[in-house]
Amino acid sequence: MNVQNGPTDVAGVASVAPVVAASPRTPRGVAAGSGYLLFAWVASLGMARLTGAVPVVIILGAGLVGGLTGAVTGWWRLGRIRSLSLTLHAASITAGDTAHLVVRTDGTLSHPVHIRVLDRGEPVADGWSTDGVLDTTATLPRRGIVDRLDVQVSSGGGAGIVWWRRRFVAAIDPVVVAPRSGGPGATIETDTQPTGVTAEAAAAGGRAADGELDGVRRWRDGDGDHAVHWPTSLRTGTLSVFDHRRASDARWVVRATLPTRIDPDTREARDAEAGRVRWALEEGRRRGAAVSAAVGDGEPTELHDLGAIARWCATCLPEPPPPPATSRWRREIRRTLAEPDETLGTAARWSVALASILSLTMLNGALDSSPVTLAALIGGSLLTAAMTTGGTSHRSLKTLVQLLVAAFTVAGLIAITVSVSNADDLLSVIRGPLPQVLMLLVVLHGFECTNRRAARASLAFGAVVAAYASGQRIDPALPWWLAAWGITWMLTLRAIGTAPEQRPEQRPEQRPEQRPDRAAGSPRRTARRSGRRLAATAAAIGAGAAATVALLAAVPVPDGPARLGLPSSMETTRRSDSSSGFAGADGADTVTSGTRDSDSRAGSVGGYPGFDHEIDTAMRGPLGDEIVMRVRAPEADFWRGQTFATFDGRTWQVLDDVGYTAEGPDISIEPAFGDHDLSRLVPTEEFVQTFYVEVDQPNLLFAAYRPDRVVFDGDVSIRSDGALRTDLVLTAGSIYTVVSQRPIVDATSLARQGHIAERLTQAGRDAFVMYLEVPDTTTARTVQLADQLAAEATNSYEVVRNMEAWIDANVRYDLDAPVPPEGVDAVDDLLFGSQLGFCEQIASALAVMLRTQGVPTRLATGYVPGERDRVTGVFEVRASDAHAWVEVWFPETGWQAFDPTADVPLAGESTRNSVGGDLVRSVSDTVGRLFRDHGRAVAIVALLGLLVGVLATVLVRTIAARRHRSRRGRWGLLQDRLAAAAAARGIDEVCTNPELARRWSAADPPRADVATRLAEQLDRVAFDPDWIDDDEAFTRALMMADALERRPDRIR
Amino acid sequence: MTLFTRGTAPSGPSIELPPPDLRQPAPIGSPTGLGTTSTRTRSPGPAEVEAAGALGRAVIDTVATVVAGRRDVAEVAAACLLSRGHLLIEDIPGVGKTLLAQVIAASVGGTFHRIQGTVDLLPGDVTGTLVPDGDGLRLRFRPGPIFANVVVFDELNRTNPRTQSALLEAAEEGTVSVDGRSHELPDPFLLVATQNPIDMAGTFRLGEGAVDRFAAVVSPGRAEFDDEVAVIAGRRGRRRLHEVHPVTTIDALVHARETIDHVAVPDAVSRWIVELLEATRRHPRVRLGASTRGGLAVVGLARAVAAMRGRAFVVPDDVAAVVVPALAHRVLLVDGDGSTAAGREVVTECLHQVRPPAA
Repeated sequence: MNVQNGPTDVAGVASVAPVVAASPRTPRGVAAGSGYLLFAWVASLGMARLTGAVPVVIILGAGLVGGLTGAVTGWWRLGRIRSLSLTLHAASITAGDTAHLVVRTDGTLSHPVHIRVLDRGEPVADGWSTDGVLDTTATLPRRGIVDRLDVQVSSGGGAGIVWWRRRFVAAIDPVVVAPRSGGPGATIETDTQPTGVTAEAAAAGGRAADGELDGVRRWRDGDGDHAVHWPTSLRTGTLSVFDHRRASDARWVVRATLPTRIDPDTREARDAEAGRVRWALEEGRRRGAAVSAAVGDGEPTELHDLGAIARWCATCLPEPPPPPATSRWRREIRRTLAEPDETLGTAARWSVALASILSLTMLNGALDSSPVTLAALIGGSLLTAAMTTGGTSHRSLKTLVQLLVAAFTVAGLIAITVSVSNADDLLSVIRGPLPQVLMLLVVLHGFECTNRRAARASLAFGAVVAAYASGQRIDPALPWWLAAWGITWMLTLRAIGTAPEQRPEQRPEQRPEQRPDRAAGSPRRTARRSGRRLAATAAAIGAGAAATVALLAAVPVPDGPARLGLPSSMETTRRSDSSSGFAGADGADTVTSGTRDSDSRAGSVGGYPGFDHEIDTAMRGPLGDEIVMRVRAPEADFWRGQTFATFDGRTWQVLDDVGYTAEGPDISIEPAFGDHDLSRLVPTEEFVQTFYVEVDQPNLLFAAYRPDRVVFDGDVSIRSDGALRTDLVLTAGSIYTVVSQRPIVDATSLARQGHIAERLTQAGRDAFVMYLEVPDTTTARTVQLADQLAAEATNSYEVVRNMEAWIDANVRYDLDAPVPPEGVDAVDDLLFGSQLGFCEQIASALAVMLRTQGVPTRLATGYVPGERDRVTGVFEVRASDAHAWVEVWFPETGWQAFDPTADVPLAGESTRNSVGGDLVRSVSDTVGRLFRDHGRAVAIVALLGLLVGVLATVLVRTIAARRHRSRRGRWGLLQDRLAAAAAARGIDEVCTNPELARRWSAADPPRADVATRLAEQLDRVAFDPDWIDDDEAFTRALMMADALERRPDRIR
Repeated sequence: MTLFTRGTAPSGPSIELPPPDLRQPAPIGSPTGLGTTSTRTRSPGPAEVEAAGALGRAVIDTVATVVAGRRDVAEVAAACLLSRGHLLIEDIPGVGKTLLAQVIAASVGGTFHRIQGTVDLLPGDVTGTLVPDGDGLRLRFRPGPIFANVVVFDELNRTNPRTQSALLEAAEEGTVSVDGRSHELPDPFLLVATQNPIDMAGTFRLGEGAVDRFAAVVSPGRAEFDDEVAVIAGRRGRRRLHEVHPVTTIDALVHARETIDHVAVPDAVSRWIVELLEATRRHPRVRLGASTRGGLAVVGLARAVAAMRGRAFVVPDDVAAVVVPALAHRVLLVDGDGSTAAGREVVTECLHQVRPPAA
C-alpha cells in the first residue's frame, strides 16, 4: 500500500488564460473623502454668493474644471488596456494558501493602474501595476473547482477621485481548491473486513488486531522466505505464508453530512464539513486504509490518492444558492466607496500640511491676526504632520504634545465661546468667531489625518478656508497666494491618489530575469522619465488653467455680496465731534473748529478739501498717491460723497440741512430730494459696493449714486442731497457696504425729457431755487456763451452735451491751473481767461452755465472708480482719484451725473466683464507692465534662465553620462556596444559572450572570427585575474567593435 | 544591605588574559608553519594549467576516435575526470553508453573494473567481503571490483537500492568500510555509471541523495546520420576500443586534478552560479531546486572546462557548458517522471533567464 504523507498541494502548473470577455469601462465609484471635496465646493459656492468675490469664483471654476477632468481621466487611462492574460501557478491548492499569479495587460502603460483578481466575487489578489504586469501571490479563498477568474483593472486618473474599471473574465485550466483540513468530526464508517482472508482464517473466526497473525494465504511477490508456512504449503501443495493483519485492509467510508443544529445552508457550514471530511479521508490514508467518501447516505466513491481526495472535498457539498439580492446594493455601495488603497504616503501627508499652511496663511492675512497666531497655526500644522508620519516616535514626548494640544484647544474654544457670546447676530458670528473655529478645526484635524479620506477632508477644509479668505481679502498679494495655494492643492490631491510607494521590504520577490535589466538601467532613461513626468504635470496645470479661463469667460463678474453677508465693521467706536455734521479725519468738527487755512484744513483726505461744508474753487491742495480706500464692486462707478448747492462765484456751500438720522447697522435710505416719486418710474438695477477704508477719513460714507441701503455699524445722518454723514470716525480698517439702486438711463431717455426749464412749473422753480441760483458775479459773456450753446438744442440733454463739448474743446484740464485772481468770477476766468482748470472749476463752469438756462444743477464731489485689480475684483481708490462733477436734475429720472472731464458711461449703457476675461486681461496687463517697465531686465532674466536651464541640463546629462562611463569603464562600454550590435542582428537572448559569438557566426559568417576574438578579449578583461589593462589590446578591441557595428552590406 | 549588585566588577586585582591564539597549530613536518596552505602558496603556472588542459583534450580526442559524434558529451566526461567528479550516463539501450564509459576508462590507464548491475547484486559483491583466510578462522578482506582507478558500473538502476547506496557512498567517501575496517579506494577514482531511462521495465529508481553524488549526467542520445554510418562501417565503435591506448598516467592525472583546483573563479562568476541555483529553486515547475553541492559540482566542472579551453580562469561560457549536465539531475520537478530530460529543460530555461556577467 502506497501511503503518502507528502504535500498534497500541487503548485507549478501554469494556468495561462486568454481573456474570454472584457467589459466596457464603467465607473467603479468615488474615493473615500470625495464627499468632503464636494462639500467644500458647495461651501465655496455659498461663499461666492455671500461675498460676491471674484477670487472665490475663480476657485469654483478651477474646482469644477479639475473635478470634471479628474472624473474622466481614469476612463481615459483605462482605454489602453483592451485585453490581458493571466497565469496562475497552481493546479491544486488548499483554500487560503498562496500561489504565484501573474497578470499581464496588453497596453503599455504610462500611469499605474490597480488590478484586482476575484473568484466568484471574493478577492484573490490585488495590487498596483506600473508597467502593466502584476506579479503577486494569490489566495484562492473559496472551495471548489475554479475555472474562471474575474479581473478588474481600475484607475482613478490623476486626482484619484472617480474610479473607473474594466472587467475581464479569464478562463483558466481548472484549479482544484480544496478545503482546509478541518480536524476530526466527520462521520467515519470503518469496515475491517480483511480483503485477503482465507477460508481457514474466516472459519477460525474472530478478528486479530493490527500486526497480529491472521491466518495464512498464498505466496505473493515480495513475500520473504521466512514467512512461509510450511505445514499449509505441504498440505495444500501450494506455497503459503503467514498473513499479518494490516490496517491497510480496512476500508473507511467518510460521510459528509451537514449538521442540523446550526443553519446548514451557509457556506461556512459546508466548508467546515468538507474540511472535516478531508481530514478524515487523509487520516484514513495515513493509517493505510482504503478510503471512500459519500455525501449523506449516498453511494461511496473510492478515492485512490490525495489528489482525488482534494478534488472530492472541493466539489462535495456544493455551495448554497446566493442569498437574495436585498443586501446586494448595500454591499455594492460599501465596495464602491472603497478605494484600492487607504494608506497615505509620507510625501502626500507633508503636502497636505503645506496646503493647510498656505490656506491658513491666507485666512490669517484676511483677518489681520497677529504673527503669533500665524506661527502657532504653522507650527501646529507641522507638528500634526510630523506626528502622523511617525516623526516623533518618543512616547512621553507624544503624550506631552497631546496634553499641550488639548490645553491649547480648550483655551481656543473658551476664547471663541466668549467672542460668540459677545456677538450680536449671525453676521458678526460669520465675520467673527467662524474663521477662528475653522482655523482651529483645520489644525486639529491634522491629528486625524492618517489615511486618504482624512487627507481629502483636510484638503476640503483648507479649500473652505481659502475660499473664505479670498472672499475677505482685498490686498493685491491675494492672486499670488491663491496661485501658490491652488497649485499646491492640486498637486496634493494628485499625491494622495497615487499608488503607494513600495518599500523595499514590501516589494514582492524580484524575478531573476528582471534584476539585471534594472541594474543596467541607464541614468539618462530615468532622468528622461522624470523630466517627462514633470513636463506632463506642467502641461496638465497649464491645460487646466486654460480650461478654467475658458469656463470663467462665460461667468459674469458677480453682483456683489448677498444680503445676508453685507460686510460692515468698525475698527473704532470713537464718536466724531460733529454737531454740524461735518467732521474731519481726526474727528474734530470742521465748521466750528476748522480754520480756513488750506494747509491745515480738517476734513481733507490726502489733500482734497471737497468733503467739507464748503469748497473753494480757487483752492486745490496737492493730492497724494496713497490708497484711500478699496471698493469691491462688480463695475466701475463714481463713489459719490456729497454735493454742494449754492455758489457765489468762488465758493460752493452745502445746504444747511442736517437731514434725518437712522441707526445702524442696517439702514434703509429714502430717496433724496429731487428723486422723490421717481424710483418707481425709472427702472433700476441693484449695485452692491463694499468700502474698505484704508486711511482715516471724514465722517462721510461714499456710495454709487442712489444709495438704497447702507450697512454700517453706527448712526448715519442722511442729508437732503443724499450725502451720508456718520457719527463715528471712519478710521483705517473700517468696512461698510452700500446697496445702490442705479437708475437705468440712456441718452434716449434723457433726450426725451425735452427742455427742463420749460417743464419746471413755478412751484418746481421755487423748490429748486437753490439749484437754480446763478451767482451775482456771473458775467454777461458767460450767459451769452450758455445761450449760444443752448440755442440750437432741442432738449436739455443736448444742451449739456453741447456745453461739455465746448468745454472739452476750449478748456484744458490741468491740475496745476493758476488760481483765479482775487475778486474775479472763477467761471469767467476759466472760460475766457486762463482756459486752464481742474475738475472743480470745470464742473462749476458747467453748473453755472446750465443754471443760466434754468436747469437745476449742483456740484458733486467724490472719487472716480480707481484702478481695478482684476483678480480680486477690487477697485483701488487713491487720493489723486478725488474728483468733482456736475449733477443735473431731470424731471423724469431725477439727478443725473455729468462729468465734463472724465468719461464715465451712463449706467444703462455699461457692460459687465466676465471673470475669465478679466483674468486673462489681468495676466496680460501684468506681463505687459512688467515688460514695459522692466523690459530689459525681464529679457535678461529670461535669457539667463534659459541659459541656466540649458547649462544645467547639459551639466546633468554630462555628469550622468560620465558617471555611467566611469561606472562601466571603457571595456564595459565596449561590452555594451557588442551587446547592442548583436541585438541589432537579432541576437538579443540572454547568453554569454562566446555563445553570442557562436550565434553571430551562424548569422554572419564573414565576421565570425572578429566576433569570437572580441568576445574572448572581453571575457579575458572581465574574468582573468592576471589581466593588466593594455591600450594596444583596447585599440584592437575597439577596431573589432567598429567592424562588428558596420552594416553587413558594407563588408566586402 | 545590598540586595543585588549591578554592573560592578569583582573587587581585587584585575587580570587581563591574553587573547587566545586563533591560529591553527603548525602540522608536524611543515617547515613553513603555514599549515595546509602549502599547496595554495604554490600557484600553478600557465604551463601547468595548459598541461592539465592538454590532458583533458587528449581524453576528448581519444573518446572521439571511438565514439561517434557528441564532442560536448566527451568534454563533460573529461571535465568529470579532471574535477574528481563521477559521471552518470543516462540513455536508452544501444546508443553506446557502455562504450563511452569504457573508452574513458581505457584512455586514462590505471586499473579498470566493470560491474554489471543486476537485481541480485549485493553490496558485498561490489565493495568486497571478508572471506576465510586459508583453513583457519581468520577472515581476510577480499576487495571487490570497486577497487580500481576507473570503475564502469553498467545499468546502475537495475541493481537494488542497497547496492546502489553502498556503491555511491563508497564513491563519495573514497573508502569502503567492511566489518568496521575502512579500506581506501585508489586515489584517482572515477566512477562512470550508466542507467536506462527510469520508465523502462525492471529498474530501481535512484534516490535524490544518490543521484546527487554524480557530478554530471550526460545523455548522448542517438548519433547523427553520418556518425551512425561511421559506426556501421566500422570506422567507429566497439571494434576500435582495443586500439585505444592510455593517453596519460595516474600520476599525471593526479597532478592535473590538483592543478585544476587552482583555476581562478572570479567573484562575478560565482555570484552568477548562485543566481542560477536560485533560479532553479524559484522555477515554477521545480519542487526542490539545486543544492549547494550542485553549485560546487558546477564550479569544479567549469574549472576543468576552462583549463581544457586553455585558460587559467573561468568565464561564464565554461559555466554555461556544464551547468545543464551538472544540475539537470539535481532539480526535483513537480511533474517529473524521474528522468533527467525534464530537468534539462528546466535548467536550460534558467540559464536563459539569468543574465551572465560581462565586462
